[in-house]
Amino acid sequence: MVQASNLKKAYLKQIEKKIKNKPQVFTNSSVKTGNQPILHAMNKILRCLILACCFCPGYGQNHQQPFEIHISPVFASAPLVAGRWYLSPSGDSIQLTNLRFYLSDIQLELSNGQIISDPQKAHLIDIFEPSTLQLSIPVDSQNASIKSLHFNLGIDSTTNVSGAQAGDLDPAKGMYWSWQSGYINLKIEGISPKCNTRKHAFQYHIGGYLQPNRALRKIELHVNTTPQEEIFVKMDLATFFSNINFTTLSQVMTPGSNAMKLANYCTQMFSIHAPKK
Amino acid sequence: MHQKNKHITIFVLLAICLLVYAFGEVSSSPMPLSIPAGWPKPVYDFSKNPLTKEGFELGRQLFYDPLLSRDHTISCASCHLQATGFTHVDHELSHGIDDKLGTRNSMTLMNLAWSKHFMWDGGVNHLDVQPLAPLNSPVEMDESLENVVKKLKSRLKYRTLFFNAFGDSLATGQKVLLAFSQFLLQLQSSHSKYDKHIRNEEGGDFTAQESNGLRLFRLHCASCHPEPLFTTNGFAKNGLPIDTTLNDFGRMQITQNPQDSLKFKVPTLRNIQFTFPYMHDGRFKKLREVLNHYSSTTQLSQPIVLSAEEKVDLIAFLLTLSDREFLFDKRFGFPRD
Repeated sequence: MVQASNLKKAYLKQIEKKIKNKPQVFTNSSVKTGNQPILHAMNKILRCLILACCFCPGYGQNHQQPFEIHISPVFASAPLVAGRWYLSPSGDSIQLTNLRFYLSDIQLELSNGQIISDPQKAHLIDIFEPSTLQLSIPVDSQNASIKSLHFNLGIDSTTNVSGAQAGDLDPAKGMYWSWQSGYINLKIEGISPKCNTRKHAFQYHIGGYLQPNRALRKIELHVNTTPQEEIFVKMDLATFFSNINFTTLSQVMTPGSNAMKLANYCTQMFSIHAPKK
Repeated sequence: MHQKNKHITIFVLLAICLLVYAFGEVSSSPMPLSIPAGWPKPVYDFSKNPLTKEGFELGRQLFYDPLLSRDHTISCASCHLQATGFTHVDHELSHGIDDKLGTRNSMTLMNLAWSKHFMWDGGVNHLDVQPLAPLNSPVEMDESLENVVKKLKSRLKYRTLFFNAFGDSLATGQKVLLAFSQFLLQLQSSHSKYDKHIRNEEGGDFTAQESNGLRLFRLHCASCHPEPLFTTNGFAKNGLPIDTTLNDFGRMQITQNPQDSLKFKVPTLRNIQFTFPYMHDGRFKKLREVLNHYSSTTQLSQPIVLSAEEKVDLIAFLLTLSDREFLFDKRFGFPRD
């Protein structure tokens, strides 16, 4: 019930925002004046609807409860923070400046065999943007336990050839190649004194959707928790960098065998932290 | 009872709302492509981006706006001029921002709804995402979609145009790209003398020379440039030796497959009279030079044998592919208000 009223509030807020935005458009004289009465009428109707919703008990009530997934970026045992130096297992000093990636087609497998799919196709995760590290998936069977978590690291081929997308998949998010179409599944950028590059920078842009260089990776993690609890997906960058030799590979920005190799290293980063009690 | 009344009220209100919504939709006027009889089914999925007059208008404004480039000097039309079949003429290699030269001759823009791949190497896989290539290229517009969206949001003119086209005044990357497709998809060339000839329309009578040219064309050229689009929209090796100042291996740069070395996208031949220079690197200025290449190269699987007279006839036919209605259609021109 608390959840339902929260949903209702969010919905009302959204509508109010829409109504507030409209006058801004009408200040422009070149908008067709013929539309105005209709839109004003629509505004009124929307207001009536809002009122109706408020007085109607149970409207918008939803039995789905969101299951919370938190992504915890770490470097070995230390939390990952921008601007801090870390020592990789192979003895390199590393600082990370940019770490963004796509999680897509998230699914939860329940003990009763049910598969719950995330209604949102893909999430753009930015490790240094804490708001992107929390995901919630609506789960309607509260009695079954959650057996495992499945997701794709990257964007599938169909989406890659389907033209302009919205939201997190908007090419304006900077995770899209322009001269050779396709999403960049994952960007890892930073500096290490070992890199023989300008400003000792390394840049790994991992992507590619065509065989034999399809860089998407499917990841499955065993969970065993209840929908009422939350889970922490640990992402350990130290495991990724334990494979990296900066003197031979510090720049990857095209699909190909190097991107495939790096994509394989990425799969080793993810594991489930014990749920917080 | 009280409860029931409320539900009825909500239902009625919802119904009214839907009606108003449906009525409101009339203000965006559909503008579907009229596909000529006998043409294949377009590749573009219009259901995901239904063509409207308002979307087209927004796309047209964007196409002609230098705001798209880093320093507001280059618009799409800088390299894609309507009067020359939406390409950049008289330059082997097209030039962009800061007078920088690219490595290829810009492609024509027409009948794009039938194209699966874009650019000479086919690196772009969908019309929607094609504008990103020139936008991001450091020698063309040197700008990012993110920043373009920011600039567009700050212009009152564009807030109105976006509202008209999408019912939301705020630009997003997706909407910019969809609007571009709306404009580009309308660039349909299907009223040349050749088209009139095929449709038995007035003005479509071929001279003996043009008829013989068409016969020769079907014999020698149509395997790569089939009617009615005059391209397979695929990739082919046409026997040109590599220009060692550019070392452009074409399709192979995208697929990394040695089989694709020196393969380039087969361009349409429509409006070829105006789209010189020819080939991906603009190495030929005249159609005659193009025909001389094809009739002398030893690199083709089937050699093309043409006499001097036959070349003249073939060129006479190629000139029937000029579509002045398209090249001077005011709807596609610079938006003057």
